Amino acid sequence: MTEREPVVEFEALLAQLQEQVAKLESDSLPLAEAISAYERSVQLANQCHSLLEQAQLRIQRIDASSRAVQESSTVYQPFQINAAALLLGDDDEDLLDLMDDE
Amino acid sequence: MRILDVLEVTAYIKELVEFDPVLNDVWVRGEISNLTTSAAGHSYFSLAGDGVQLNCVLFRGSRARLMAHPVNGEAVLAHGRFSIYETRGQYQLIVDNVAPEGMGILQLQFEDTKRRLAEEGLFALDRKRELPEMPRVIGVVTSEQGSVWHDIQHVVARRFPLTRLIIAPSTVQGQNAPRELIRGLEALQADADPDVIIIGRGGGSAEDLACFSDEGLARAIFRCRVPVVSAVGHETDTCIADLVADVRAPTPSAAAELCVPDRRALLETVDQYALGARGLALQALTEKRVELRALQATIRFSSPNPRVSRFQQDVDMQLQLATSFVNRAAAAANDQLARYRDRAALLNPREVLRRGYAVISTLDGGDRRRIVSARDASALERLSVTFSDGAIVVRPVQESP
Repeated sequence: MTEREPVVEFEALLAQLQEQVAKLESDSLPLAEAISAYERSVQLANQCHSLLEQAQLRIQRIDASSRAVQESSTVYQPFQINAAALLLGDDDEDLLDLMDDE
Repeated sequence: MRILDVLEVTAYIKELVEFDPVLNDVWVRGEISNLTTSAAGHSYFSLAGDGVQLNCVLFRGSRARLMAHPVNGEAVLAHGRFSIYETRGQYQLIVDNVAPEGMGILQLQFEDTKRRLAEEGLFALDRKRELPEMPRVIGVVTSEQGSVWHDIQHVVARRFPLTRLIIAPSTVQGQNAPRELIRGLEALQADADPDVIIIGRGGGSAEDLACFSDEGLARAIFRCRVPVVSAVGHETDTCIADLVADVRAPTPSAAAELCVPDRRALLETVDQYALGARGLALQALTEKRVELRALQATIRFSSPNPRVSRFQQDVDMQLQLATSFVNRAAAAANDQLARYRDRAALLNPREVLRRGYAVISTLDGGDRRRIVSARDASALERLSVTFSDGAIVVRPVQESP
């Protein structure tokens, strides 16, 4: 299988997000880098969201004698989850105000 | 027909007895009598029933593992294998376990297997493995029919659909079940690379569950390279698969829940990080803005260029912000300059003449001077009056009143 497992993808995104936050936590980060670390964080968080919200469970079956693996036809549509909407992205007014202010 | 020595025929009988599948693994019911224990710690007794007696020997090494200790006059079940004591031409039961008489065969088997596997360390708590936090692949060994497989799929689809489920279908009751369950476990490990395996069924009678107490299955679970969650779906009886599994779940749904994180919790974690990043970025911006304000104050009182150049090494953002201020300062300076230019224009003498004023002076070429008083003017015979387009000569006709 060449494609990346969604779990691996998610773990990588989460690790990168943690990395960006750690970067922001460090003192003396130049402003330009702080801004881009923040933008990257928002991007990563949104990617995490869409992975978790839109992933479709993959189901397979292995035959114990032939060891053949087949995909199952059962499809689970993504379940609705009522996670709080994230106030991030282009409409982040506080931050944009501050950036436009100068 | 043949002739045999005593030794030969005894050896033959011994072989018959010891290789007989019934006689080498059997529980015998009877009442204990003539119990004696030797100095070496071996016990000898008879099992009696219906006027028949059976010689039994219980070696010291087996004593520690007994479910019940032999007592004269008690009805028991004794487990062991038959052998021949050649010296005296006797057959005897070599006992390795004694149980109270009332126990059923399933329970006896269960207790016996459990005892032996416990001794071997298959249930040891310190070898229980932690389940992976976020499994990529979850193997499931159960029946494809029925609610177990359905429940597991449903729970995983709801909680953590990023993962992949792979079932190795197996019957989960009856004679063939242990073998199929073991093959399922092996197939998953060999070809599906799971991070965790759930093995189970949806409850049932003691007989239905018996296959989950199979010794071979217990060993296959123990050998498994990845953690195993048992989900045999029962409340009171514990089966051996539960004891040897890394985690025991009360139901298949519970097993599925134990195997995957809830994505709502993961979303919260993600949001916490994102909000943290936002807070930190806001803080950094606020700090820089304060610095910039100080810079602006400095620029306001001096030529901006050297000040700006001091910040040349600063980050692009800061530079950009500062530059924007400088541009505005320059624009303000231009406005100021334009206003000065207008005022200067007002002061230009030619402009004044154009508005109707004239300059009065003497005529004398070398010593030409401005006449700024009526008295000086009336003392002269002739005056030069300069307009914006040229000068004329005039003569005063009247002295100042």
